Amino acid sequence: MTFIWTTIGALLTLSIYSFLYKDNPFYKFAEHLVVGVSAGYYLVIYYFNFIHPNVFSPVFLLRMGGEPIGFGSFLWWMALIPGLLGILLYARFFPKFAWVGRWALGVYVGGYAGLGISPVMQARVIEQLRANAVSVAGVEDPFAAMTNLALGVVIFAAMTYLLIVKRNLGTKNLLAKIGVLLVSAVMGYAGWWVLSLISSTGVVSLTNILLVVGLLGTLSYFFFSMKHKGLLGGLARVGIAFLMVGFGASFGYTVMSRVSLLIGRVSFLLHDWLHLID
Amino acid sequence: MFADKGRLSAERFGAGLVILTVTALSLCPAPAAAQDGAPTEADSLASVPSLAPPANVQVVDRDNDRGSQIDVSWEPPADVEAGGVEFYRIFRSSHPDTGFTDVGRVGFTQTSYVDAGLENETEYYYRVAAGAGEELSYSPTIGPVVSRPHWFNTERLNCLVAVVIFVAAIIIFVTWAKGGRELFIRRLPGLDEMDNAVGRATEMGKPILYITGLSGISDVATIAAINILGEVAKKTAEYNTRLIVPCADPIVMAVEQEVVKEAYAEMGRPDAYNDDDVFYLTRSQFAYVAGVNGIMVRQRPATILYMGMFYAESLVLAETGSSVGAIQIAGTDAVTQLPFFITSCDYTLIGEELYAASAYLSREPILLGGLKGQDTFKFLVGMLLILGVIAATLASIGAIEANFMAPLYSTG
Repeated sequence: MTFIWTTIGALLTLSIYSFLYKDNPFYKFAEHLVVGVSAGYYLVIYYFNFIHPNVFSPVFLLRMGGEPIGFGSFLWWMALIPGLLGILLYARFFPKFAWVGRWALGVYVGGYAGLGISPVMQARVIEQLRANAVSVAGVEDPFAAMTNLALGVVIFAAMTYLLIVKRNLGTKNLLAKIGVLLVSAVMGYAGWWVLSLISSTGVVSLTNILLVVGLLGTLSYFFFSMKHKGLLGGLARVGIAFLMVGFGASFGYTVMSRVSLLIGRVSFLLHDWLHLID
Repeated sequence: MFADKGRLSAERFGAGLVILTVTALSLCPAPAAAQDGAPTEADSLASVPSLAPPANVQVVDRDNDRGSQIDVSWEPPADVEAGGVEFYRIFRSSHPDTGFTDVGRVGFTQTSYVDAGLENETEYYYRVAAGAGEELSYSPTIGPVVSRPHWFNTERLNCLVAVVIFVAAIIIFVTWAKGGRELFIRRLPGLDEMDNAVGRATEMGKPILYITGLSGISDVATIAAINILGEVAKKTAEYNTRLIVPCADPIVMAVEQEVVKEAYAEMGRPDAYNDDDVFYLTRSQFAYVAGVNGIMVRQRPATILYMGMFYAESLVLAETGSSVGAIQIAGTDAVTQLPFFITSCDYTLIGEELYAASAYLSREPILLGGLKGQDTFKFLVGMLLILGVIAATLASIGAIEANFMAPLYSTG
């Protein structure tokens, strides 16, 4: 019996993969089957996980989570009112009363938006600020730390100016452009080398400097109220560079996880179905 | 019981003191819980006075919670030599004299315990015992204490202030926008292409496919996607282009049907709206992908818009869309999916650009005001970050005593 089900699963898997060739009747069959079965499956899941325990059981059976509740009690009303709002959604099937359904949608959308304000502010703003407001200096030698920090700031300012602001200002002389680029590259490399050296002594945290510069640059990129020119344009360029590096890393990492999905399917076909591999 | 205690005493002080110890123990008053005679776990454990009890035990209702929790704290026994205490056990009862049950045990380095899962507005009594091996030495009974829910979490005051500033900024800008003040928004290339994408579909006589991802209505990205859908629907109504919206969530479907219907009505084309073009497909992730892929290869849409929250299905959808020759514009705040959209779509709205899109497209004062308010808040956050970095740096090198920005970030 198991072999029959495994074979059905394997044939459906192959039918889905046949889409790689082109759209065909096997794919259409598998597609319609999986869409239909999953829609029906989720209907049952929704009923038994949400409607029955949260609406049907409290309102009609006067039980919530296995505990009895009183008719007309607070919990009973708390089950009845959302249930009624849910029923209002079906008013759309009666054009004359379709507008009533908007009440439910209004409560639902507004409720979620309101509930989301505090957690989002907490998790995405305050927590992020706390995590990113870090010291960029080490602790061994305060004087050296301040000196090297100032040096690092000067180098980064020079890099930013040469790499971004200067380029934005523009020059028509080709040689001058090449010169600026060369100087930028040398300054950039020198700055990086110096910072790495300082970082290796534990006086300045290169990681934290990158973190702060990257964050400020990225924030600048998502600033919509001004044109991306001048200092803001420069910071935004730094930000988009950081974003792209991050996306590149994420891309490689996620591709590996996608490959593992493929391996899972191939393993199902060759191991569970055909028993060709151990 | 006596024999056991006598053996322990004999080991420490010598056999000559056994009788004296036993006599002394028999004369000592028994622990309060034992006087009642009701057998409890606490009562059944041996109590040896050689181990001093924890000092200064305090029980208070836990601050800033929603009730059901009580803080128990104590000081280590002062007259016990180092290493004498191995653990502390916390006992609770709803009566001062009897019924104490063991509710927790912590290591000897800890001097506090949070007792959770209590009934609100009920009086509780506590005893803390210092323990070593089988020996326990009880503190006096402390209480009563009552747990209550708190209406305001003072540790989240910074969150409230931030929300107030954020909302105030939005209200100010919305008022300005409604008053006719021109509010500038920088160019967003992906959105500038929206008109071209709709126009392309119109010229080719093919539909536009709009996908809002798998998330429900509680997701900010989905709400942003629905806002953009309204603007796209206005254009498709204007150009009389078919708009197909397969949904993965029934509530999202209901909202999207309303939004599209209203957009068509607003453009004076209620007759062109087709309820069946905004439909529910399935909630299952890859079944949804299979269904949408089928729509792509059979309907051959000229334009595909992916707006909202996406998961592993993003690349499969975008690659299929690319293979049918559609112009594709994506927008999502799903960081892990953005790389896939960037590589396979013509334009991609990154993160917050998605939220800005509806204001950018509609130029409605309320949305524009909201966007400007967000920008103002972002600017403030940037400034706070710089101040925070300076404060943390100065504090770490000892130039100042403490990080003066730290209270702003406390999260409770």
